[in-house]
Amino acid sequence: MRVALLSLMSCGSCAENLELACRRTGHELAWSSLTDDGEVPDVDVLFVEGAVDFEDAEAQERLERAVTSADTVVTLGSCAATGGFARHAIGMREPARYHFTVFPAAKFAGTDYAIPGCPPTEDAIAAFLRALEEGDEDRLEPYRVLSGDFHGLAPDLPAPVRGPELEVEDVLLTSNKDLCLGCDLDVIERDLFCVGCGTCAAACPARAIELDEKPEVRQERCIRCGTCFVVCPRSFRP
Amino acid sequence: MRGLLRKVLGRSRRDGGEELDPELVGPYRSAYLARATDERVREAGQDGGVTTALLTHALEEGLVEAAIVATTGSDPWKPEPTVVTSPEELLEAAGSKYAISPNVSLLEEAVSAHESVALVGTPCQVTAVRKAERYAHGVADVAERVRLLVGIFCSENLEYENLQRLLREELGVDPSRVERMDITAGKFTVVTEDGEERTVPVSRLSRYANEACHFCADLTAEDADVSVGSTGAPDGWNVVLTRTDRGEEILQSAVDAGRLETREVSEGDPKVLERLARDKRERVRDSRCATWRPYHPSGP
Repeated sequence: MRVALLSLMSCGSCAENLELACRRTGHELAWSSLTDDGEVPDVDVLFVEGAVDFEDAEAQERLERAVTSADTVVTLGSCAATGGFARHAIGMREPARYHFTVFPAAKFAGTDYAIPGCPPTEDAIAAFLRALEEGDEDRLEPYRVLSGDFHGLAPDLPAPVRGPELEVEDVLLTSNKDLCLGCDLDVIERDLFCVGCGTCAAACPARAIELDEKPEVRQERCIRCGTCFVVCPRSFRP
Repeated sequence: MRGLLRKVLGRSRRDGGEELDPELVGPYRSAYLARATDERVREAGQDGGVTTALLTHALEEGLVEAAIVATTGSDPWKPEPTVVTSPEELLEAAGSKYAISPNVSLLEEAVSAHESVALVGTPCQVTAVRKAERYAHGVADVAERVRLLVGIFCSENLEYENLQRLLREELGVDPSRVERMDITAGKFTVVTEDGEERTVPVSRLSRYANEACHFCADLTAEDADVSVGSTGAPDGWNVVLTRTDRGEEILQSAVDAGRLETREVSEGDPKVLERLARDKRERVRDSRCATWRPYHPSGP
């Protein structure tokens, strides 16, 4: 498959792992905004990494144009898929999620699949590429769920982006994609959904979760990738 | 009259030789009564010692290198997740503990250190591992390396603090003085170090239970390879449900190796198990949390 990468507001780690995964699985990384200028050529798969500032019209247009040149669009990494570091912690602002102007790229463009993670490992990306190449619907299903409205948990969610602000009420347990890591667990814990299984702690790439029966997030280590929320057996089920 | 009752209540005679209703206990391959043949294992275990015997078999035959189980830590009756690699450690960890043990928290550690791993967990923990298999970007290699998921029947679990409260308030006993805890025949029973037995009806437990358990529909760990519990089994035996090819194979090989003995599940009381499984499914409907929905696909 011919692969392209559009890198937006991000650190570039996802791009690096994508490159390694493409090399390993024998797919051609035909174009990358990190090294190539101009428009995205026609490709089979476009990966988008990073978030977009609501006030950055140029980036939004670039994204809108880019998604038209690929058959399949995949958000790569938490910044693009669910907000992640770029949305929830850039500039080391207080992670008060409802007044940010930065949104995951997925909010500005239609996407087919999402691979969250901070960053998704080379293995994870390679596994996705294999599933996509083989058209294995069963294995693609989780990535599809993550790119959508979270398994119908947000059926009444308003248009993807209404403005630079989201009401807190709108995001809690309705649009989980907007919740940062710490907040998510907080919701699950405080609203009494937590069964104390420990999956969040096992999955946390930053080892930010301490567990004594129930999880506790060490905010100073949290990278807000949302992995804990995705794996939680009580957040949603595929 | 009895015939009529049977007709009305249904299911007391089922065609096709199905011993338990899969609508209630989830899909399964086979159902047995089973117990460990090794008396030491039965002694250390809660009922028939099946979980310990099955894992011992898996470790000794090299089917898995390690198992994630709940052992007891420094506080009396407070479970602690641990990764074990030997039958001796398993024996140490045998028996039920009635408080939250976040076994899945060791999943990453276990699968990165070992090629093949078994996990024992409550129904929700088993579901969590299944989800981690599909959402593979969280913990790597779960699908490849977790070779056996043993689910324990669970009506509800307790936070340790609330277990302590339950023991003190309802049973008037300090946790450190408790020698044995058990749930049988609708009663939560503790035996103190002086051999005194105290009981409280299981219905009293729900006020101490972990909140999330009130909207759980899964009594029998429907996502497990093998589910094990005592509900519906005679004293000293377990009900065992195999749910996957892998689960059935491991159980059969443990029977063939003489580590487990089995009987027909109908020799126990399958109706009790079905009733409790139904109760738990229906409890979700009465959940005080109206916004949440049962997450288990086969739930009500």
